[in-house]
Amino acid sequence: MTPIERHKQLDRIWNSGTGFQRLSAVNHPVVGRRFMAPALVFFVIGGLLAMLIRTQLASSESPFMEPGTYAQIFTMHGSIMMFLFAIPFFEGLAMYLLPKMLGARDMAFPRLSAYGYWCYVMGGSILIAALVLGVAPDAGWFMYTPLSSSTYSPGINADVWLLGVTFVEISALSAAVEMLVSILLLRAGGMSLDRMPIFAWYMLVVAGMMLVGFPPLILGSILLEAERAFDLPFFDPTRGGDPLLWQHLFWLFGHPEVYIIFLPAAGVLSTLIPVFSSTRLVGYRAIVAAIVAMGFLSFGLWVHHMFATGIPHLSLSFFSIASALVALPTAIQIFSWLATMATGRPRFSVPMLHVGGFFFIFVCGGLTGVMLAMVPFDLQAHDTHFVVAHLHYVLVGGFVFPMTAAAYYWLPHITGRQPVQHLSHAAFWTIFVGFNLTFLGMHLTGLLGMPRRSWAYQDPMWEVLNFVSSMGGFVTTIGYALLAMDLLMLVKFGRPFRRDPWKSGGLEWAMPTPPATYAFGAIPHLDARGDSLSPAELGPKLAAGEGYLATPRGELETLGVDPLSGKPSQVVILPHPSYLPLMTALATGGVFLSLLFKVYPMAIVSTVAVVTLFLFWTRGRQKPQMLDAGMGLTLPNHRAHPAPPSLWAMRFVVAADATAFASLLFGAGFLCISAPDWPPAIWPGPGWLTLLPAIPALVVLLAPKGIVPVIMQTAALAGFALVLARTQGMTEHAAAASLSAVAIYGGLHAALGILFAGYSHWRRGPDDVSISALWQRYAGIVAVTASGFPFILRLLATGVS
Amino acid sequence: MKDVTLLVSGFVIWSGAFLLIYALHATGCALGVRAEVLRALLILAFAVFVSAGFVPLWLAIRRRRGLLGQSAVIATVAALVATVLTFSTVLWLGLC
Amino acid sequence: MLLAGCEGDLSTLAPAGPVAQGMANLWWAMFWGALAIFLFMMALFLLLMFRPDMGRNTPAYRWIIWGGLVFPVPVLLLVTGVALWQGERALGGTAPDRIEAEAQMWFWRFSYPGTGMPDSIDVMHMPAGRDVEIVVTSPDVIHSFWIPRLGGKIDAIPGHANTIVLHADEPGEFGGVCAEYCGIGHIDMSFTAVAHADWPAEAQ
Repeated sequence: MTPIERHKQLDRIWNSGTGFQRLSAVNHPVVGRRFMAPALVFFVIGGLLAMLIRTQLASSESPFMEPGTYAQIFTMHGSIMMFLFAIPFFEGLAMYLLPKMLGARDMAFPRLSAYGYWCYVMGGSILIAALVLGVAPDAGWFMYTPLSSSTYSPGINADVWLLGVTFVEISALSAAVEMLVSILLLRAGGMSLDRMPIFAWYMLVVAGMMLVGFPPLILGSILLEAERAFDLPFFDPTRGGDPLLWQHLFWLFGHPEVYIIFLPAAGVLSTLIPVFSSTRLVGYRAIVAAIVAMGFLSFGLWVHHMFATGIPHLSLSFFSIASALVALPTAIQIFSWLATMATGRPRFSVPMLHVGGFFFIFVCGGLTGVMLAMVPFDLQAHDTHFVVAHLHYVLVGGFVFPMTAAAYYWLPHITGRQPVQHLSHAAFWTIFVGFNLTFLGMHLTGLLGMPRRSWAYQDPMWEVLNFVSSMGGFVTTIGYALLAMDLLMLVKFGRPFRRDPWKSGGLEWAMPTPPATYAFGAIPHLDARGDSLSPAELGPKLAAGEGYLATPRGELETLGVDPLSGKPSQVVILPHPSYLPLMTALATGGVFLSLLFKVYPMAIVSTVAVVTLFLFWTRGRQKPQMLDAGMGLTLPNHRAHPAPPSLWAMRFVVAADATAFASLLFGAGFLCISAPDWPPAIWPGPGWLTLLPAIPALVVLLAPKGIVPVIMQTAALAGFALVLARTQGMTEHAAAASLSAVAIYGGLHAALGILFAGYSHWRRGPDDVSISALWQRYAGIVAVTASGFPFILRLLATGVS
Repeated sequence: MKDVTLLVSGFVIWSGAFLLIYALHATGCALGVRAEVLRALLILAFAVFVSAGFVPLWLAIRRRRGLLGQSAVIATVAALVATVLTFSTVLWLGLC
Repeated sequence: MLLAGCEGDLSTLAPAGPVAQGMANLWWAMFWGALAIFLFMMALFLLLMFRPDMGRNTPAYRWIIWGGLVFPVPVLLLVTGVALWQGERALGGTAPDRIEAEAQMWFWRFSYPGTGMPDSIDVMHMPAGRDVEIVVTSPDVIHSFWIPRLGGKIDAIPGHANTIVLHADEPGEFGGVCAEYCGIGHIDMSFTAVAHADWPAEAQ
C-alpha cells in the first residue's frame, strides 16, 4: 500500500464529515480546536470587562457604573477568566496535543470529549446570557455565603453562577478522566512512563489534581444551591450552618486550581525551552519529582485564603509553611530551565520572547506569593489590591505568557503555516509594558490600604496609582489586539513548511501539517525518550506504514499499552462520529435550565433523558476478539482485554466521587465542630434505623457480580429512602440537612448500582461485569459509611456540647 | 506500577498527616481537650507520620531503578522533609 | 515622593502601633530581599540568553541543587520562622479592655461593656498606649475589620465571634475600613478609630 492510498483509506475512516455532520464530530483535533476557540472568545469578553473595571477606577471622578453593576462586572471578570478561559483553553490544547505527542490516534473517549465540549459551551453561554440580561452573579467570584445565600442575593444571579459553573465543571471532570486514561494507556509502543515527553507528565499530574480538586467545589455548589432552592441550612449560622464551610470547600478547590492552571503552562515551558536551546530537557527526574510534589503540596495551601477568619495560629502555620514550601518545586523547575539554557545554545525567537516575559512576571508573582504565605503580612495585604496585583502576576505570568509562546509554537502545527512576524515583537512589548504598568504599582495601592472590589474611592494617592493602572490596562489591551492581528496574519498569510519547523524532537511534528484526521499513518515503536526523536526522519516512515496498525480495517483503531512499560497490550477501537454527545449535552442543559428556573418536574424528566441517552452510548460496540496489530503482534481488542480503558475510567470516576463523598462527610463534621447551635435540641436522625442500608451493602461487598447486587442495591435504596423519610426537620437545622444529604448520596449510589448491575447482567461482556463490580464494591462502601456516619456525628456533637 | 506507587507514597503520607493533624487540632480545640493532652497527641501524630515517611524512602532507595525510581527517591526525600517542616510548629506554637 | 506616598490614613506602611510596626518591618525586609532575588534571577536569565557560554562549565545537577534547594531553603526557613514568631504575637492573645464591634450592612456599631460609654456608630473609641481586645461579630454577611495603621484584619463572620488585640502607641485618629466584599455598600463601611489618652474616654 502506498502512503497516499493509506492516507485515503484512513481519512475515510476518521473523517468527521461536513455540513451539519460537523455537529457529530468527536475526533481530538476537531474537539481540541473547538475547546480553544470559545475559550479565546471568553478571554476577550473577560478582558473587556477588565477594561470596564479600569475605566471605573481610573480616577475618583470616573465611576460610571452603579455598585450593583460593578459587582456583576468584577464577579464575571474573575469567573470567566478562571472557569471559561484558563481551564478550557489548556484542556483544548492538551486534547489537541496529547495523542500526537504520545503516538496515539485519538483520546481514549472521543465522545466524552465532545460531550464535555458541549457542556462547556452551553454552561458558558448561560453565564454570558445572564451578563447580557443584567442578572449576572454579583457576589464576587468566590461567592462567599451568606452574601450569596437567598436572604442577601434573592435574585437568580447566584443560581446562574452555581449552576452555570457546575455545568462547565462537568467538562473539566470528564477531561480529567479522559486525560488520565489516555496518557496511561494510549501511547506509542515502547513509550514507557519515563520516556514520555515531559508535557504528558505535567498533564498526568494536572488531570489527577482536577480529579480531586473539582469535586469539593461541585459538592459545595450543590449544597449552596440546595440551601437557596430548598432551604437546607448548610451555610446559615442561625440554623446550625456555617459560612466558613463554603470557604473551606471553595478554597479546597480554589487553591489547587491555581496550580492546575500553572502546571500545563509549565509543561509548555519545559517543552519549548529545550527546543529553543537546541538540547534536551535537563533534570527530567527532578522535574517529575517536582511536579508530583507540587501536585500534593498545592492541596495543603487552601487556608492561606482564610488567614483572617479566626482559625488558631497553629493551624494557620501548617498552611503557611506548606505555602512557602511549594516555592521549592517551582524553583527546581525554574533552575532546570536555566540549566537547560546553560547547557544548550539558546536561540532568540518570538516564543522565547514570551518565555522571557514569563520569567520576569512569574518570578515577581512568585516572590509576592511567598510574602503572602506569611501570616502577619497576609493579614495586612489580604483582600487589598496587593492580592489583586499578585494574582495577576501569577496567572498572567504563569499562564497567559507561556500559552502565548505555545500559540506561536503550535499554531503552525494547526494551520501548516509559519509565522510572518511583522507585529510579533511590537505586540509582545506592548503587552509586557502595559501589564507591568497596570499591576506593578497596584501592589502599592494595596499596601496603602485600598480594599479590592471597591467601586469608588477618594484618597489622592490611590488616584495617582489607579490612573497609572488604568492607562496600563488600556496599553495591555492594545497589545492583545496586536497579538490577535499577528496570529490572524499567521493563519492567513504564513508560509507553508515541510515537517518540524522548530527542529523539535517531539512526535507531534512527525506528521504532515495541518495534521491528518487520524494523526499517524502507523503507530510508532520508540526506543528513546519521546522528546529526543527526529520527526523529519520518523514522519515519512510512519506515513509509509512502518509501525503498528498500519493496515486500515474500517474501524478507528489505536494502540493500547501497558501503563508503566509501554509494551503494546491491546487494540483500542474508538467510536465513529456521533450526535449522541450533543443530544446528551442538550438533555443535561435541560436539567440545569430547569433547576435554574425552578421547574423541578422538568428537571426529573431531563435527568431520565440524560441517563437513557447515556445508555444509548453503549450500542454498536465491538465483539471481544484478537486482532493483528502489525509488526508481528497479535493483540486482543479492548473488549477482550482484562483492563480496558473503560475500566480505568471507572477507577478514576470512583476516585473523584470518593473525594466528593469525603468532602460531604468533612462538611458535616466541620459544621458539628465549628458552627454555632450544635447539637440540635432533638437529634434528627432515626436512631438505629440508619444502619438498615448497611446490611444489603455488606452483601453486595461479598457478592458484587451477577443478579445479587440488583436485588441488594434495591434494598439499600429502599433503606436510604426510609432513613430520609424518618430524618426530621431538614430545613430547621444543618444537622438534619447534613444527615439527609448523606442518605441521599448513599441512595443515589445504590440507584446507580442497580442500573450498572442490571446492565452488566443483561449485556454480560467481561468488561461490563468488571466495571459494574467495581461500582458495586464502591457503592457498598459508601452505603456502609453513610449508615455508620450518623453515629459518629452524634458522638462528636455530644462531645462538643 | 511499584515505581509510580513509590513516586507518590511519600506525599500521600504527607497528605494524610496534613488531614489528620489539622483535624486533630481543630477537633481538640473545639472539644476543649486539656492543653497538655492535646499537645501530646499532636506531637505523637507528628512523630508517627515522620517515622512513616521513612518507610517509602527506604523502599525507594533500595529499589532505585531507572529514571522513575530515581524520581521516586527525590520525591520521598522531599515529602519527608516537607512533613518535618510543615508540622514542626506543633512543638512550639500556642495551641488554640 | 515614595515615602510621602506611604503616609496615607489607611497606609500599612505608616504604622502607629507595635503590631502594625512589626508587619511593616516584615514587609520591608521581604521587599528588599525579594528585589535582590528578582534582579539576580533576571540577570541570570539574560546572561544565559545572550552569553550562553557562561554556564557551560557548570554541570546541570549543580544548577538544580543550588538554585532549587541550597539557596531557597534557608531563605524560606528564615522568613517563615520570623513570620511565625511574629504571628504568635499578632494573633490571639487577650487584653483586659474589651470593645465590641458589630459589622452590619453597611455600618459599624461599637460598644464598650463595663465602661459606661454609650455605643457609637462608625467611630471606635479606644485607649492609647495599651492593648485593647476587639470582639468582632456580624448579624448578616461576612465583613472584615481592618485598621491598617494599627494591625491586620479580622473577619466578622455571622455565627462566630473573632477577636483581635490592637495597640495604638499615641492618641490620635486612624482610618478603618471593611475589607471583605459585603454587597453594594461595601465601601461605605469606613470608620474612624480614635485613641484616647484617658480611658474610659469622657468627651465624645
